[in-house]
Amino acid sequence: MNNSLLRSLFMHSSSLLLIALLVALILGAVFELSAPRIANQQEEALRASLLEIFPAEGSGPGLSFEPTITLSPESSAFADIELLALRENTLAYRVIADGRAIGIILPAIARDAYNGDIDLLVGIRINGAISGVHVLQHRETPGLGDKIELRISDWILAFEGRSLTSTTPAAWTVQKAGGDFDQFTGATITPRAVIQKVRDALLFFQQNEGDLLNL
Amino acid sequence: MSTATNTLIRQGLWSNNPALVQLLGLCPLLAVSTSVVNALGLGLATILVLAASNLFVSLIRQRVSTTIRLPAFVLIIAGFVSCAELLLQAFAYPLYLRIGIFIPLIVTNCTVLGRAVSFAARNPALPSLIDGVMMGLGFSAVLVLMGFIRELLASGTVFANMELLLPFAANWELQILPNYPGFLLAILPPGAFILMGFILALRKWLDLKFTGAQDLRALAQSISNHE
Repeated sequence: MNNSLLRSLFMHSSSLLLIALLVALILGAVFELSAPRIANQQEEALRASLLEIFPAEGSGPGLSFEPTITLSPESSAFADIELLALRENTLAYRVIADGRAIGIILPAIARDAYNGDIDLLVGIRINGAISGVHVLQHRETPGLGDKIELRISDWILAFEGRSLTSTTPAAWTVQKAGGDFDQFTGATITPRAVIQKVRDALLFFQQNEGDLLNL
Repeated sequence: MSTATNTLIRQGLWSNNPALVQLLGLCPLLAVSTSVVNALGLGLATILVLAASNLFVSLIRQRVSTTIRLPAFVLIIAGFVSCAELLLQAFAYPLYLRIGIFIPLIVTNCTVLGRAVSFAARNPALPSLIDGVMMGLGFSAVLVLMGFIRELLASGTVFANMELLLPFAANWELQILPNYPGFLLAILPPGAFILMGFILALRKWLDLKFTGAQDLRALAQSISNHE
């Protein structure tokens, strides 16, 4: 290999290296400066969405949400874990007020929706009533099945206050099938899957109340 | 203002507009222009990246030989896109959750690499910075225009959820068409293509109407010469 080729190879790679270092320096500085703010924002967003599922009642003391329980789909630590249809280990949030557990936010996945899975969070108060339901992720048809999202319609609010005792097993479906809940025009599969899964979450809570709330 | 600056402004915003004339960056343009707030968010990020990468490329242009130009420029652009992503996360987190997956796509917006290679690599820092900002503004203007029309057609509102980007804009949502039944096509990709076609035609028409009469004669001349 001749000298001039070596020289130009060295020149080019060293200037590329220099540019890479310079860019890395800028990126590192921006990362360092923004990291605390980003962590803060993520925490705030998580808290805001948890408060939507489990609003503080009245002007009571501030709630805290503790991600203390890991639900594992394979483990038998909890009875009837298959009710939640989890794909992987998922956190449940214990809701604490005044040092006492007053409810839980459970993850659950509706598997029999129109298009793919619907990931849900279901908040349940200590008395077995639903505090709120939130759709984390879905791939239902825009304009039809996506009315399960709160930003599109308030259908999902119909769960608030319901429990296994207030709503009979037969009423846990859409009105078309004799139940208590509205269907959407052109989409009954989506709401039916969500309703069923919310009820499953209540059943799971009933089975495991003591362990979940650490009573 | 000098004529050179004037030319840069006119080129970026109109005569060489990245979206309407160069037809570059259509992927993010069509994907994100579903509402004004999404469009404005991506537009600001694109302006930031274009300005920063043009300035940086121009400053180091004499030290980068043509052999390693492409890898060096892509590296620089990718670095600034990552910065934009971090800044969006830090200052508009809810908006990041909505359009975050499109931010890395700015790297593949050919406008950015195109301006680096064809302008910033040959010009001093200040004109390069102006060119970057103007090209970014031209791109963002089209993005926001499409966001405005698509949001209006799809849901009958404009400026919904602006507080995601601007905390003081909480009540900006305007219900322009009351009891609007919604028009799904407008927010789906085919609607974006159709609307883009109309905007391209409109630009062409305006261009011919106000400045293009001579061009048209020249075109007719060259066609008749071919025959």
